[in-house]
Amino acid sequence: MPVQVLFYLFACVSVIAAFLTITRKNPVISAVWLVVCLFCVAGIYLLLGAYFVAAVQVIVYAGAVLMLFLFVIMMLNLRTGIVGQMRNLGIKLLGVLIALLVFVQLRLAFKGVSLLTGPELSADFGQAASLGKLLFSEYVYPLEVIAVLLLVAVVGALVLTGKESA
Amino acid sequence: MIELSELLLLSAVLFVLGVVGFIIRRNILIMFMSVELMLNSAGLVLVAFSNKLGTMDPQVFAVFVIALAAAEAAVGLAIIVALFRGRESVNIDEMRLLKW
Repeated sequence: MPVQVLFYLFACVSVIAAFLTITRKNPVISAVWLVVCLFCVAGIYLLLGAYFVAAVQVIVYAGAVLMLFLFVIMMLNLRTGIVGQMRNLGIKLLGVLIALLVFVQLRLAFKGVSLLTGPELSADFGQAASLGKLLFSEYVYPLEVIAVLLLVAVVGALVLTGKESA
Repeated sequence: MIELSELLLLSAVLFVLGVVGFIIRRNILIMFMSVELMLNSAGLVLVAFSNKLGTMDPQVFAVFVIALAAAEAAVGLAIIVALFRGRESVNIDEMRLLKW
């Protein structure tokens, strides 16, 4: 079944890319692997029928946010000596231990979920039009709050990096 | 058909990789990317349940999560730039004072 094969492909590549993101020394290479991971997750969104969310993921996440990361990395002009070293071995082991605990906890939390088989999806499932109708009717107040949040983020970023605070 | 359990396993693995990255790295930029990984895995859970329940409401929240991540990235990177101006470093171990 091609959907299943594509899902396994995207899943494997996204996990490998996520692993490379957190292990590479150079932040530029990390950012590029993060783009690969985000693209794979967008592919899984497409397989699940969430077409609009997949498009937003590629445009906003992989496009805008990661470009912002790359611009900041280039602007900081990191010298090779200060490009991220790892913590010592004890902290690494502690990190893996805490991560394992989180993983077990997540699996336990998901264990209670009954195996949903998935109903027939309507024809306009995941399309921009139906999502837009939902956004501007039922979820119009959260949408306005998000709009204000983005404005606050823009003003905050300007204040933080403005000339006076330098 | 993609199984729900496989989707949840994938998102748990991605989340845990984000946790590991956040703990073991000293570079504040890569710690920040780990946070993005964790947010991304949360979005994956939302879309998975949207598909399995046949309702579009979780997708609205997935879009909200992405918008939130964009706002967070803008402010976070501004803080990193301001910190770098003062310290010439992105090593988190050198930032242990609230005021200097």
